[in-house]
Amino acid sequence: MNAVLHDICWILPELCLILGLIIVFVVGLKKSNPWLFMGIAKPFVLASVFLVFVKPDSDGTSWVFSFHLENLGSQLIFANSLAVDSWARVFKILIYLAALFPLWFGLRSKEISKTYHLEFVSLILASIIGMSFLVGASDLLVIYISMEMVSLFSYVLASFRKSNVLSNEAGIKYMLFGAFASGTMLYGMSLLFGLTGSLNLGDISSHLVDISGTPPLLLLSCVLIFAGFAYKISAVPLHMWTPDVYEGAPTPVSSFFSVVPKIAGFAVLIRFFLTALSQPLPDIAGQWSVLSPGIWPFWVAVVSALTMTVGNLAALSQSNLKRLLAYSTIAHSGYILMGFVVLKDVGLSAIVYYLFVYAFMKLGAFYVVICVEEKSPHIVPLNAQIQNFKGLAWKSPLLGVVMAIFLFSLIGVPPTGGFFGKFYLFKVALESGFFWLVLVALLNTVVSLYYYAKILKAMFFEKPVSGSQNSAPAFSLAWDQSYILVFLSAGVMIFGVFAEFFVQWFKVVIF
Amino acid sequence: MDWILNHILSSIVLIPLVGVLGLLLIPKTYQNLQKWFTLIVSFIPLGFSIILYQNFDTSTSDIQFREVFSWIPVFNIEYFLGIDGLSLPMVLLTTLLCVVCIIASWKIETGLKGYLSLFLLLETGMLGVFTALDFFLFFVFWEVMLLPMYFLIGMWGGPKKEYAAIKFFLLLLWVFLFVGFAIKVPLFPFHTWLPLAHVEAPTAISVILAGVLLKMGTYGFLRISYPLLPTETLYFIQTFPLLPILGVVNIIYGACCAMAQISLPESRGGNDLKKLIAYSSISHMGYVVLGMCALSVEAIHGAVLQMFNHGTITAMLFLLVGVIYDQAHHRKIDGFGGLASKVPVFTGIVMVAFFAALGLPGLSGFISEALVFLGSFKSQLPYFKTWTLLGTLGIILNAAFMLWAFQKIFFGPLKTSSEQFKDVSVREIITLAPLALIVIFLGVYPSPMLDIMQKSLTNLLRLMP
Repeated sequence: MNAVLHDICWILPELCLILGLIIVFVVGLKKSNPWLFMGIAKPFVLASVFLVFVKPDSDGTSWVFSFHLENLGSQLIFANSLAVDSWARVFKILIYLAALFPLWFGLRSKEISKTYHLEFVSLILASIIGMSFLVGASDLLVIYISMEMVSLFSYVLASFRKSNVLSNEAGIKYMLFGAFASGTMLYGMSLLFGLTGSLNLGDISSHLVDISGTPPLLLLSCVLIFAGFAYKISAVPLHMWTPDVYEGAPTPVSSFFSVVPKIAGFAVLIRFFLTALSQPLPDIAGQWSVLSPGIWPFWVAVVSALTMTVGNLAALSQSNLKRLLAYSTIAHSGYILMGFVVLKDVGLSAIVYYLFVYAFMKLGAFYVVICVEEKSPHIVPLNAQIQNFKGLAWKSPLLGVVMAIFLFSLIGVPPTGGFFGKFYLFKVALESGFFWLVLVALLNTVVSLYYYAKILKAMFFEKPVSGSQNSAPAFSLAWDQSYILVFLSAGVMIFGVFAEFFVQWFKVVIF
Repeated sequence: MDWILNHILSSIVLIPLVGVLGLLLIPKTYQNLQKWFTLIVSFIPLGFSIILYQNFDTSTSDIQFREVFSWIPVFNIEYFLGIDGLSLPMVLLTTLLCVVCIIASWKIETGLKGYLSLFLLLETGMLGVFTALDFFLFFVFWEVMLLPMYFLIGMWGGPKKEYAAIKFFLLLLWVFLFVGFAIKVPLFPFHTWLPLAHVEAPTAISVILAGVLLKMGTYGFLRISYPLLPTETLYFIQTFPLLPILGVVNIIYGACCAMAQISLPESRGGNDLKKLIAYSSISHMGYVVLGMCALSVEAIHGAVLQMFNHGTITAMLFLLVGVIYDQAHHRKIDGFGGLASKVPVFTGIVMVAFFAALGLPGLSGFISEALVFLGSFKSQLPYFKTWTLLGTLGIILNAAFMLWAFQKIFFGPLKTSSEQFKDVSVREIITLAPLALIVIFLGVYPSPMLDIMQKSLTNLLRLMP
């Protein structure tokens, strides 16, 4: 009992979020004011970010606080099933911070009616609680349970607009796909458990050390488990749900899906592969060697190449911005996987850096879409049509400029953060000899230029279509909208210009 | 003063950027204030680059006014600015042309604030490209220059502007990744963006495109390819003489295309004065490439001097086309005639510009072309005399189409449509006069320019195997 109580001291951020969730519920019994729910949820999420930097000291009598993650050490808690290390911590910070924005995006959205705002806030809170367990999970069961927790809330969020056909379709598709993927993963886990006799990632690794060669059953189980993760990060061939779900879901929810669960998905994917299927090299710090079945890095690289290519090629023909951004999310998942296949700590820090920048630029791009949609009289998926963006930069220069910054960052144009993120990933992959992968990624970058430039062309070079929302003489933004847009775009630029600071900070992020 | 001298390059590069922030604070409706503010901001780099010129040490080939900070040590990226005899003429040219172009843009009204902001951003990018000595920083400034250009052509250009802007942008990025600097020169067959981008761009942007951006290609060759990849460069000059051949093709092909603008009707893509000048730029940049490849002292001096001279001459030409276009609202060569009697001052200035472009002795274009051909003819490289002889054909062709166009526009009977023409205004003279003076001055006395280049270029040649 004492041990459990002591372990609870290590999950303060999660406890704080749970407390916030309960309070939102209780208040929701009496009131239904979106700003009130936001006002309650936001301090709790911010407090959780702060609590990530706190740990109990060794004798359990006082607390240690440090902004330097390397000083906080790592700990396995709850019978070695949950890890609290700098990898989990940095992802928790990222998830909490990124989740704040969709919460705010929902405030003014027409798609999320005031009556159901309580559900919106609590579903997002609940799903980030699931994610913060997911990023630390070091036991197959905990991985499965927290992944299901995230997924269940996501299904509800996707079909949030009850009376909208597309939104319902999104929810059903998401759920069917999710059920299939988690079933596959569960089957793979059961095989792995049968082969190694353990659910714990560390124990699995120590069993695998004794196995030589590539037993087909082990290979099969790894493929099946990877399928489950691939679904979460929208990697090919389990990417098909992404555009439909993002298109049908309310746009604040799409912005949430395209960033936050992706981040958690990468965290758990990398933790699983690097702790269960690899072992740290004894002589070189910060590198891993693969265990049986040893061929997976190559195949993950192939998946990475396919994912970025399919995402970019499919995005070329999209005329709906939500779908286009969905395909661009797929493409970016491909780029991020590049940092993982090298099995080095620099690759991991490149991934963390990229994910931070990615969160800023993707949330920003989605927020521009949200701002445009809100001014529109039509039903929602039509509002994100590219023709509704024609001439927008002349109507609202701010919207044009920040969208240009987000898109240039998504392309990877210096001096934005997206450029340094890509540069870092490419550099790491090149240094590990993945020339072909870098070549594919470079070609993809050029392809992606086309469809991002298409949006810019519509916004800057074309005249507004009559009858669309922006043919109105003025296009004014509310104060909080301008504030968020400027904040996000400044973030993208700061990540670029002060890349050194962030890269140094993320360098310590290993298990 | 010491502080300024120690950070003069950063000041030159970053003051336009600070100007953008200042410009954003001026309310949208105060258009005159915005224009005057931008003009004053653009005068500061010009003043500083003149200080730079005065303090430049011509007795050394070292990098001067260097500023080095560690920017992103994890990737080994430095903020490293510096100039030598190769980049100083380019910095002078850029700061001068930016001031001229802002005066030339005085009449723009739609989206003025955005236009001026992008223009200042463009100036930062261009100056950064010419002063950056870290490869990475160079690339960053290159992009900072490219993006405003894309929007300036796309948002303030002519009817086919979107296509021109996208073509410019896509082609540039592609080729930067895969071919290198060939496109910026603009070397055949990567030249197709140039006439299109020019025709659709507003006058001031054409001036910047032809006057500064074209030089970045050859500048990049000399700055990066020569010192970093001397063996490979020599391979493409000597063993597999791709570069000199492309230079000669540029000279002749560009001149023929310009000629075709006079002889072809509009329905077949001809008869456009601005296109004629754009093609003549292609031809003139061919001289630079030829001079660069000859690897002799005279020729390389001629090439770099031609980069500067072409910048001033072509800027004049585009400004003059702009003057005509503002009044006639078309640029058809056969739509004009007999203007000499109607607008004598204008005719005089055009004469200076055209004659400088065709290489009349006494004007600056002659000096650089003569140096290029002299040096190329003396070159020790095999077959180089052949390339030079073929290149000299360009002189004749250039003279032919320039004189022919001049005759068609200014002599003969006055067309009725041109009877309302007014002579150049004071504002237009302010933009043209400094350029004309430089063209005449350097035609008579080119030493001030040649002196600053001499050490650096000699050293550059010494690096070649």
